[in-house]
Amino acid sequence: MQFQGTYFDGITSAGQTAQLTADARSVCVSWSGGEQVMGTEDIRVEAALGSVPRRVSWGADDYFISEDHAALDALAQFRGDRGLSFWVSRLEANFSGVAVAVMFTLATLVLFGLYGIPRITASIAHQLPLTVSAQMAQSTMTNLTPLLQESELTESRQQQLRSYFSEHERTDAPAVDVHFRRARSFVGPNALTLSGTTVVFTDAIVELLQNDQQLLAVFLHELGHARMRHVEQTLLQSAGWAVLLTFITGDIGGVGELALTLPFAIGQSAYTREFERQADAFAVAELQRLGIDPEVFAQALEELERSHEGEFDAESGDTEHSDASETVHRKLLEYLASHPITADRIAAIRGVPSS
Amino acid sequence: MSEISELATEAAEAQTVRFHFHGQGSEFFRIWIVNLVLTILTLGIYSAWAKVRTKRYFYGNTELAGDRFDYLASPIAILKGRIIAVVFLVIYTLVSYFAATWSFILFIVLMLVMPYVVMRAIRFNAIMSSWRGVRFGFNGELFDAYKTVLLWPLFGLVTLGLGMPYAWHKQNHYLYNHYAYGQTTATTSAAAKDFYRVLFAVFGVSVGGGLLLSGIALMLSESVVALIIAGAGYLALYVLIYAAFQSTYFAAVFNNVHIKGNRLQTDVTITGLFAIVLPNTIFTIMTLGLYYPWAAVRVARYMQEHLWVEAVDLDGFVAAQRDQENALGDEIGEAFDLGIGI
Repeated sequence: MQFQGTYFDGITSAGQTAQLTADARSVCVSWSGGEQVMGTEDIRVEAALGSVPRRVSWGADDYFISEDHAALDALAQFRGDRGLSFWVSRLEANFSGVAVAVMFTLATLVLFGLYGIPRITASIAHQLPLTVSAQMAQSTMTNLTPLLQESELTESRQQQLRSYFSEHERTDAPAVDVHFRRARSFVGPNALTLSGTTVVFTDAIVELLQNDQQLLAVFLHELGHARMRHVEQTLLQSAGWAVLLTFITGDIGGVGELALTLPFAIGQSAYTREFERQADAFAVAELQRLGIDPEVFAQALEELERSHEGEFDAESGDTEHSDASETVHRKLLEYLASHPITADRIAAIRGVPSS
Repeated sequence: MSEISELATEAAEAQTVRFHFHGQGSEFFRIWIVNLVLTILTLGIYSAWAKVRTKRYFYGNTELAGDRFDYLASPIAILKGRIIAVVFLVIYTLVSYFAATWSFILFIVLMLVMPYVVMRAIRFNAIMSSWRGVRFGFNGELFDAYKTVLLWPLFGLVTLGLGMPYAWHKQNHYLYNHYAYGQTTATTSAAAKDFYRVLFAVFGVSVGGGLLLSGIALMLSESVVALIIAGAGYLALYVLIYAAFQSTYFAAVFNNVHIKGNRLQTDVTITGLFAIVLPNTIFTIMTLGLYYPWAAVRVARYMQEHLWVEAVDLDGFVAAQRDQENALGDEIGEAFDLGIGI
């Protein structure tokens, strides 16, 4: 067997046209300046990597390199070269191997995203000690300081609501801390769960919902988030994705990274919507246990929705839509929104299937 | 080489020698997907082999003057570094979520170690790269690494970004005045103004594109179509800013590097790169990442077809003595995306 290539001495950057001759026992590389003769067992042939030229080396800094893949394959086969890289090359060259690889990768990613990550993070989140959750709430509160100022509700009103809430809280877990804060106007009437130990009400929501039973319903929704450790789960999920993506992509970099994170970010807001549904269900079950009509929760959501719509109406006078575009609009919003559309949530609470 | 012959080579007539990229999307797709599967099946352990295969594919398909580049790192060395990097990344992520104060301390420690890691990463990558059997090298000093990686970027931050191009200039200086091919060290003649041009391009494109986008948004009423157009516009603007930065930075660096009288030159443009990266991004999103191999090959091809050497002598380089290297610095640098690369 004989084929052409280039010889590099490993010392200077000047290559020499060379020729490799092999027979049963020896391999000879010869170029205009000299030649190298070795036993067939002393050389190493690189496995194919696409159509990249491959080296024939013999444990020194100098080497022979060639693009004659047919001859190189024959030489490797003749030597009986095996090992991981040859096996991988054969897999890459095999169409059904590649097709199976595509299917396998997609299936793994989808299954892991849909089932693996939520389950793993849920079980970790439920085992986290409460001191960790308290620490988390503390740092979030510090980070939000510019948005949340001291409440202007009277101390007695705050105290009254706190004891009203805790009277209706299940006693199978330590009570959560309830804070009241005056928030910047764009936060609006709202309640937030910071972690498994801490819930914040804005002054605006206390002023908006005149009925304390409605406030209790909102509290029970937030309590659902807290007890089910939803905030902890969300944080663990993003950490999980970060580690997973680092592993899979390795050196992807730049825009590619953005492109890969985008579907996951949207997927993550789907987890968040699921959390909202769970918290709603928790609130409804608790209200029923306490003998309160879940209708108060539906009314609270309607009240909140009205207050938000008021803001939007002020911005754009355009509220008329045909039914068809309304549906498309809602579906798109639903896909992007982290909260399920309020109309659907209210329908779910009242036990009416939404259209 | 003596001074007289150095002058002699400088005086010789320069020839234009272009880079060529031979990689193909469909070919790289097979390599990439097999890498991905084996990485998943081995719970990430194969990722070190995958990285070496990917780098070898891109280096091995890069041709200059008839010969290809080569990447020679051993996967085992990379695996060790990668394990340490991942352990650190997990600890850092958990700590920063659950104990903000401690993560601050961890961050300071990281900052103090980073210059060393960056220096080692550059060295490792240089030594593992070769062309015509002669390896590249890097002989930057640790003290300079501290100035380059910590001090100058800090100066950039303190000056609210106005000093950032100067920091880039210093980084480029550190990198290309200490980068070597064989025994020969390169030099860069880039000046601070070359990097201020990068800032102006990015600023101009952001403001211009932003104004155009909000103009379009104002003309459209609130509807689903408008929402989609706004989303696409935002994506296009993001890609445009990326292309503006990448192409002008690439030009600032590679129009100014010379080694033994051979000068690198590039004519990469913002619009040229944008025309490559925008469809790449759209297709990659639409295929949930499966288009990535074609995208990577297209970018590599564009960059290399627009890069050439005004060469006087490419045959006279001599290999340097070398010691053993480990991948530790390299991989920690990778995992935290320290972003100094060749």
